[in-house]
Amino acid sequence: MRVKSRDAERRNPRHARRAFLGVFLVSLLLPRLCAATSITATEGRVLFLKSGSYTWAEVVRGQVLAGGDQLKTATRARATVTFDDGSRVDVNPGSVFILQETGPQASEMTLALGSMRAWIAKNLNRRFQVRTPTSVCAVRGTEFAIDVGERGETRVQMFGGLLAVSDNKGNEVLIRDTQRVEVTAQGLGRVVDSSQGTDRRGPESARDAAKREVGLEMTKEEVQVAAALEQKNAVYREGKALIDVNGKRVRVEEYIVRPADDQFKLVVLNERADRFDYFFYHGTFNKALPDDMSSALRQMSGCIGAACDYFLISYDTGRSNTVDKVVETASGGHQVEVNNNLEARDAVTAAFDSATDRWVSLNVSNPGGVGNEKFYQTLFDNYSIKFNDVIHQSWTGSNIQNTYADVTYTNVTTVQYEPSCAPPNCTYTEEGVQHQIVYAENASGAIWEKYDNYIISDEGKIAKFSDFAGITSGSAYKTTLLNWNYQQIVTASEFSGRKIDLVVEPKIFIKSGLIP
Amino acid sequence: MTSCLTPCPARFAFLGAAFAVLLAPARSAAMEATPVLNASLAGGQYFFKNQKGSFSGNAALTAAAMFKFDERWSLLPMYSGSYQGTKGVDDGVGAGTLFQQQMDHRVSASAIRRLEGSDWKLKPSVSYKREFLKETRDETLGKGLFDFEKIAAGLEAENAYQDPFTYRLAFDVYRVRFPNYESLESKSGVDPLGNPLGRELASKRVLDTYNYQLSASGSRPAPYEDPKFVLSGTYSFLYQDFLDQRLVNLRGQFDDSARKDFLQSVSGSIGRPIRTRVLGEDARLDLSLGLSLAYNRSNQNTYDAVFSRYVPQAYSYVSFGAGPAANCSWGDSKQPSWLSGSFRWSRQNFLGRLAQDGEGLYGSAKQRQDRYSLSFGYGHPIAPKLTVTVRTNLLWAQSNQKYEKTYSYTYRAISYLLGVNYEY
Repeated sequence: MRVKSRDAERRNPRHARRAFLGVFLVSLLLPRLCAATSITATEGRVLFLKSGSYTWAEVVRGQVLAGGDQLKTATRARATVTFDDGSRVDVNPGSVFILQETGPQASEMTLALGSMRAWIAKNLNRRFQVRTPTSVCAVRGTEFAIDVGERGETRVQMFGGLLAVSDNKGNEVLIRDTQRVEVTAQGLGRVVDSSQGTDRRGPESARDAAKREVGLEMTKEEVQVAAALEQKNAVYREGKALIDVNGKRVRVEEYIVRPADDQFKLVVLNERADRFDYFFYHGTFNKALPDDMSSALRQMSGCIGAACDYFLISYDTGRSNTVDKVVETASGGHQVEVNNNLEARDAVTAAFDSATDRWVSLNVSNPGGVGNEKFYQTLFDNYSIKFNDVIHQSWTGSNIQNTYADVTYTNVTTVQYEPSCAPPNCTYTEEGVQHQIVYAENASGAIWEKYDNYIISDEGKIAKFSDFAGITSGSAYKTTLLNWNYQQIVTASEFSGRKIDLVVEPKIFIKSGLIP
Repeated sequence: MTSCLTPCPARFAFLGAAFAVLLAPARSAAMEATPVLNASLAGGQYFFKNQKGSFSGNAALTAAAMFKFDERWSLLPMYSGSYQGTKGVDDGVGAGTLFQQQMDHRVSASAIRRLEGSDWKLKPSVSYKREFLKETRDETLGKGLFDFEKIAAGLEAENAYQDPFTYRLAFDVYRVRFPNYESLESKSGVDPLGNPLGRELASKRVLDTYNYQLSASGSRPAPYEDPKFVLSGTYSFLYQDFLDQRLVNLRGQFDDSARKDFLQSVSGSIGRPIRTRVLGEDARLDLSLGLSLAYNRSNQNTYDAVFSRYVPQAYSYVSFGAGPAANCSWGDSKQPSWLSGSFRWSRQNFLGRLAQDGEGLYGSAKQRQDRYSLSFGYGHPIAPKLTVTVRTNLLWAQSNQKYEKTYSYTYRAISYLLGVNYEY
């Protein structure tokens, strides 16, 4: 077999003369050390046989090689031979390598067994030859590897450049880039691209090796980042990040505090880029609450058929933007059966059934009379709502059984309806969408409060009427409402133009009675 | 392992020291540098349920250079960065936000040390990544709520026992920090009546973690002497220490101990490279089938304040995945045309989290989600090193969790991207 660089056939005598002069000048300038062919790296057990000697010795790094010197590498050993022009040969494990000649005109070597890889500098004036038991490879300015088997079969692997490979029968083939060809006693084999199939023996090119390392690094990175993103998704799943009607992100946190055995405090915190709002509901029950409060809290809005086991005796609830506040307080809580108390206006026709944990309609066929389905609710003897400590409404009573007849109201503000008022300072609903405005003021209009109530999706879109189409009962409305968010913007005469802007899950407001 | 409620940079110290010691004897003589560059530009769109995002662009760049000092020592510094204006189907789609921009930058350095007289290579590495995310109109890139940074150090041992087949063992330590995310409760103060709004022991940096990962992976030909298939497998053990996330108890209050997660995962694949012909040209068809299994055990519970429900082991889950993939390449071996397709099914079963109905009512079944994804891609070279690419991904998700007020569990999402890729 013969392997020959195409460059060799394009030799130009004038270029050769210039190159010769260049090499001559450089050789005068460089220290003598640079001109030697030497072993520049070893790994494992590498043996060295000096020409004319009969004794193999372990090689040392820096060993200068001369014509006739031999190297043998053990099973896991390697050696690097570097030539004075920068050309380099890596002798791989299990190889026998003989440097036949080394000089400014030619470098010749034999690979009797094993494999080697060579990086040959372009030098028109120098011949570089590798012999194998069955071939001669004459190359210049290329990168290739040769693998010699026990029976002399030779495999040539290209990593760059162009080679003409010929066998002993005179057949020739061109191989390039990452192609390889195997030559046996029968002649040239088929040229294959080593990037295809499972190449088990061919060494990687430097670029392939680099790309492989980059790929491994990026794969590891993906795994690590996945763990980080899981934390973010958990926040979304728990509903802690929403978008409001203005397209702004609202962070939401909802939790329960247990200040005492008979108390709980539900807290909802909202944070936007430029503001912080919160809502809380602090209730004191008639007795100590169990660890699992759900059975007690389900009875907060009332009980069907029998008096509640757990009921509030007082509560305070508030909304604030950290500057302004709306605070409601109530005390003197006790159970009253409101559907048969001869007062039609406080009859409850839809309620949360703690037994089934669902909203149900009640059979109230005789409101204001008797014979209706019983419903027990907590009524409070004392109540007030204050905006920045200014009372807008309050009542007092004693063991009240009817919130309309038995209490003394102090109404500072009264809800204003059309046609006695007109938007925007009026109670009305925006056309086509679930945006309700509730407006109340005192007689002079100097003290007022306004609520903008939106039903919105997690992405901040306002629900349409059509989303609630066909819903006629209170229970169905509340059930549907649970799938949306509730945004309430509160403004008042005491807030000096500021607002309290809360996004909450509707169930919280339903539970606490803020959505009747 | 004890918990650490304050930053513990010392945990990286031993890896840093090992890295320095390994690098110290590296010599710079006869250094070879091999650059690697991969850049891509693409534009596309994202569809989620019945909504579609606007047409937007993605760009990515990876630049690295392998510096080979000698046969033993190499160094691989690398930069990778990307900008993503189009959401992908796997990018937290359940949250449903269509408007998303993402940008990340990562720098890393890995040393590669071949051990004398063996096939082993040691690879110490360090990296730093910063990711920026803009999800809403009022966020600016760089100040997103879920921006995060990751600093990592690791050591990998690789045995190239029969090139290109290897087995690898690795240990990585990394810290993930969300600099803009603190719990609201930790800054809640007092209510208008002077009572505290937060619970006792409320944590602040609840998403930040220290992560310790051990992994082993390998590949081998089968049959060994006359390979027809490629087998590969990976096992990974990840311990996540939440530095400042205390456990939630049955009463919905905090205990004085921190959350810890243990994630174990196993994956394997069998590949079959086939030589064939496409359009009269030699081609390579790679067929593969992958399987994966993961188990996360978390000691954290949650308390659903809205429904007054305690949920034990809320983050523990088991997940499985399986799916085939095919890739066909033909033409110039260095820059082939390619066509790829893959399908993957995965299921995640939560071990403590209960499924809710449409009204939020908790049932008795544990929450689960199935995901089916289908991907197609095509690449065709149009100039040296430049390939035009088309990719599309479809994702179906189904779940028995019907309460979707805050997060979608059942949906379809599609994305497509058209672009070019430059590889050097």
